Amino acid sequence: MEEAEITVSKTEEHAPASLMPDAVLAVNTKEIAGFVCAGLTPLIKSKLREMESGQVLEVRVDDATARLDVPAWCRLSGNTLLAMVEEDAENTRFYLRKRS
Amino acid sequence: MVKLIVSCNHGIEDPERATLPFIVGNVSASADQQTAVLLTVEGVWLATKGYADGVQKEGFPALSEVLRSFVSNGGEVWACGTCTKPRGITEGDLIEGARIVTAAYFVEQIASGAATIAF
Repeated sequence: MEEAEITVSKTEEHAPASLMPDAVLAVNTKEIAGFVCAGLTPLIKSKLREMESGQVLEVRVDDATARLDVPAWCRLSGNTLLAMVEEDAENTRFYLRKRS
Repeated sequence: MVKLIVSCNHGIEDPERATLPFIVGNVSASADQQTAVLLTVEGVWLATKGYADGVQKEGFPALSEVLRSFVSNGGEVWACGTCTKPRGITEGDLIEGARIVTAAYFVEQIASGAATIAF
């Protein structure tokens, strides 16, 4: 499967300045074991349903396994992963553009 | 035609094996992949109204929530007719999004290219 070209930044300062999200989804996974595998991408899907095509969703996740999960889900679903910002060892922010 | 068939042959006697197929199926369905969970043996009870209520493996989301999310994301629940019949399960017993299917039906889907996975 073709890999999408995305911006991967290590700090917030290096996140693309053009990324102004239309909505933010903050996910705290610490209280739910296995949440990223089980529920993160369906939750993103649910949030995107509320948004218009072309709008940008920022997803904040506190589990590094999401760095594998979210890009794969974007490739499958056809939503565009614009950038992934790795804030530290666990916390990550993703910027997704809803597909048309 | 579906792209992925996730097999499940456990009911509430094994909550983990009953839940995991719907977790994987839900991730697939939420990525807009045509997905079905194929229920066989004791798993066919999962397609019936009220059966999944209150079932939750520690560390997992509640089965009923995952099942509901799976169906709302377009996932299909297939209950094997060979297994529903001896258990007295009919279409009228089924939850929304579920139906009784035959072996030839899902074999055709697999022969046409649907991937399968089991746990």
